[in-house]
Amino acid sequence: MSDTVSDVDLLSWEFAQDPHLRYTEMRADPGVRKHVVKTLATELNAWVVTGFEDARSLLADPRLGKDVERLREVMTANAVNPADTIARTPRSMLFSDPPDHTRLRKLLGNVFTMRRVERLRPWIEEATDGLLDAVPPGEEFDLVERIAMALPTYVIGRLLGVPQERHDDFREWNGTLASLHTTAAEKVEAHRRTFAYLTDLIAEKRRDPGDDIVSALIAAQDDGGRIADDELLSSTFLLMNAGYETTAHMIGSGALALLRNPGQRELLRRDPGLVPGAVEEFLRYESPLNMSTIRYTADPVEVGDVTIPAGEIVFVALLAANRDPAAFEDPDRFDVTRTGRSHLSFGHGIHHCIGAPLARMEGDIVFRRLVTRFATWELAVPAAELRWKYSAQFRGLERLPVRLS
Amino acid sequence: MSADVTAGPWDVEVDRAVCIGSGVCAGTVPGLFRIESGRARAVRENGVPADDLIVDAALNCPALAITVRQAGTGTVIAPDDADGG
Repeated sequence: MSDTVSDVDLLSWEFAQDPHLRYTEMRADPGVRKHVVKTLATELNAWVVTGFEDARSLLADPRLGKDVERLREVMTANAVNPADTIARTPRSMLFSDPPDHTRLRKLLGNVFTMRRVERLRPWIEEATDGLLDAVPPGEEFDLVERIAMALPTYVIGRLLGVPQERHDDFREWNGTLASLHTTAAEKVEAHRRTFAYLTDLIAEKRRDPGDDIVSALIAAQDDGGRIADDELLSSTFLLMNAGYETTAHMIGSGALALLRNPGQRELLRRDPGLVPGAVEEFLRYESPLNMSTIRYTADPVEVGDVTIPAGEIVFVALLAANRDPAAFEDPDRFDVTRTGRSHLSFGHGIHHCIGAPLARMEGDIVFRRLVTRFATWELAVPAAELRWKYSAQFRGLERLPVRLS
Repeated sequence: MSADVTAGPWDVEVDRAVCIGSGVCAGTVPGLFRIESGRARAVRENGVPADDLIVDAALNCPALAITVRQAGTGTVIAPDDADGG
């Protein structure tokens, strides 16, 4: 198998700064290969899929499993350092297969349908206006910190019923978990603190329920909703963890694309009706998740001419699939009027992002306002100084210093 | 709502104008739903034997594009509208 192992370093700082360059080379490679990939927990030998058609079919392939117990065994067997222990985590919909997945997702699905999400629009608009009113026209500020991170953190925090003064703690813990800089011990500690806090939050919502998702899940549990205590905990963790950073990166990367393409920005300014299409293009152009969440082969799976044996780890590189020239014409061109097939940034199949309607609406609200409020957009630092997060999971800017007026 | 109180057969409709092609339904009931040209389609729309998984697919559709009705009576089995629409 050694001939299928690639020497492309997916953990390097250079890769995080320009993954598209590497992915272009990998897509051109006719056979899928194994790489070393660092997850939240450990470094793994894993197959990385970069082509759009392969990516789409594998995301929906029932032979690729996510069940948390089996996944832990497969991760242990494929760990780069065999001494690494993979922490046991409770089941959530993201790390389960049917029928557990169906049961857990159904409990949350109702909250996130487009129809429900539309009802949140007025208060999300109000929150966005508040953030934009505070932007000093013509003065430098960090758009990532003040808008891209601030809005989705506020939204998911309010949906879950997490008090605002704890949002910074969450961002810090999440940052530790997702970073390639941090040590295993630091990650374990961040994980422990997050779960300790969420355990307290759930206990508090049990005593004093509110109009929030955690209280709704508790009510569903009391109503015979078939969710165990530890599943409730990990579902809450999942929503918090997945709920804002991805959306934040969509907003940050989208703003950068519009800074670099003033003609496209002008199109949106003249016709804000194009904004929903622009949001799709932001998602395609820089998928906020670089690689999909982890999967393992429950049975052998053919990808092109290669057969991946059972018991191996597979990552789908969403960022790469979305720039596949076989699927998108001139894929490196940013075009808000692009039509045709849709990107894979929300995944495909039963694990398709449950928060997609919410993320799309947040993008719509923010960018409608950004393009109509501000006619002049300037990067406040040379483009070469912009840094992307040093993470194999997320694709997003560390900071985006701008001047808007 | 479970299948035993709403005996089949069922009629299954996908609103392709609303569908976003997430693939949730095709992943949940591969024998019934298929993604074609980026949108879902029920390969059989009428007289579909009752199956809880079809209800799951309708409930988990992020676009709520799937409607399951009892054949004949037209009673909506899923999604239920308990949240008030």
